Order: sequence, then C-alpha cells, then structure tokens
Amino acid sequence: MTQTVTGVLLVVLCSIIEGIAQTSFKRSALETLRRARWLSVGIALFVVEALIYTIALQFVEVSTAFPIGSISFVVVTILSRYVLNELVTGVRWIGVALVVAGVTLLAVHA
Amino acid sequence: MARAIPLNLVARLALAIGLDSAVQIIWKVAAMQLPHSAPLPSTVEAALHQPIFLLVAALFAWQLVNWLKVLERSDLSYAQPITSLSFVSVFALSALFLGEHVDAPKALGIALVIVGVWLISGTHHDSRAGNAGTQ
Repeated sequence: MTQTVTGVLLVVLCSIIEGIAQTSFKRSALETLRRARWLSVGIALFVVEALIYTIALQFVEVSTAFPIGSISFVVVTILSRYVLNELVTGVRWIGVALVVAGVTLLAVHA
Repeated sequence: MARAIPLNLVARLALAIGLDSAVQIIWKVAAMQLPHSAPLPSTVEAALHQPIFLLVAALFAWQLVNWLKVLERSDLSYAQPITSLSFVSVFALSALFLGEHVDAPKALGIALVIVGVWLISGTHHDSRAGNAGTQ
C-alpha cells in the first residue's frame, strides 16, 4: 500500500468519525438532560479523529486531505435525516451533492 | 426561496468557517514538524512537545464552543455543509502560504462548492422551529 493510499484511507475513516461526532454534538444541543454525555462522546470521537488526521497529513497534502473529508457531508446529511429526524429537503440534498462534487473535483486535481 | 437567517447565526457560521480554515493550515504546518512514519506513541509524544499543537488545541476548543452555539440555532444538515466554504479559504491560504498550486479545475470545484452552499442557505435553517417549508 502506497503512502498516498494509506493517507486517503485514514482521511476517509476520519470523515465517518466526524459524521458520528457531529450527530453527538447536535444531540447535546437537543437533549439538555444528557448534554454532558453527548458532548463527551463527541469530544472523544474528535480526539480520535484528530489523532488519525494528524497521521494522515504526514502522507497527503492538506489540499488533498481536506476535500476528501467532504464524505462527512454525506454521512452528516444521512444521519441528520434518519437519526436526528431533520427535514432534509430536495434542495438541501442538491446543495450537498454540489458541495461533494466541488470538493471531489478539488481532490482529483490536488 | 430565500429566507431570513438570524444575524447571530450568520456571524457564528462565519466564525466557524474562519476557525476551520485557520485550524487546517496550522495543523498542516504542525504535522510537517513531526517525525515521518514514526510509531503512534512517538508521534503523540512529539506532538505534545510542539507548542504549535497547543495553538491547534486552543483553536479547536474555540471552534467547538462556537459550533455548539451554531447547533443550538440551526439544523446540523444546514450548518455543516455551509462550513464547506472553508475549502475556498483553505485553498487560497494554501496557495499563499504553503506554495500549493491552484489551477482552473480547482477553481471550478470551488465554484461548485459556492453554488451548493448558496442552495443550502436558501433552505430553512431550523426544521424544528415549526414553520419549515417542504421545498
């Protein structure tokens, strides 16, 4: 496995962790009685993500790593819709798709 | 389609984008100072001895506090994609300070991100507020 592939896979893993962490943060804002618990889960996941991302940045440039992180937008939108029960409209999905397309283009040409 | 967004939320989102950009750039600079392909414990130990990682940690804390305020006022699926505007600023800052190249395809990618964020910003920012449209 090349260093670049290793770096890209680590960034993808970070994106999934990011999506779960963000859902925990939103839950901390919604559930005041369990605020500390959800906040702790989110921060713990962020620490793990930070550690992995720091290692990933030694293998790929930030201009490559950052766009690949756009996968987290899809993870967050899916979790927002099905876990947080947010109203994710067609327009919002199109917006997310354009954001992901844009950052993918950035990543391909990084 | 355009809806009024509270000024406070706009300010918080702008701060989130600025902090996100700063963290990305400084983190990259910090990561470049760590030993290459070292074992994980060595990497962590080396990071703890780098003052620049304290700056990254401080910015993260500020970012987290600001982000929780954002999430109190808006949907996660609304706010998080908007922070993708930091891609635009990171590319600009990477070109300026890290010598990374920005060409025409990257400019197109940035344009797509901006259009996507513009579309999302036109949707209702808080679907729990009770007056969200179906769009």
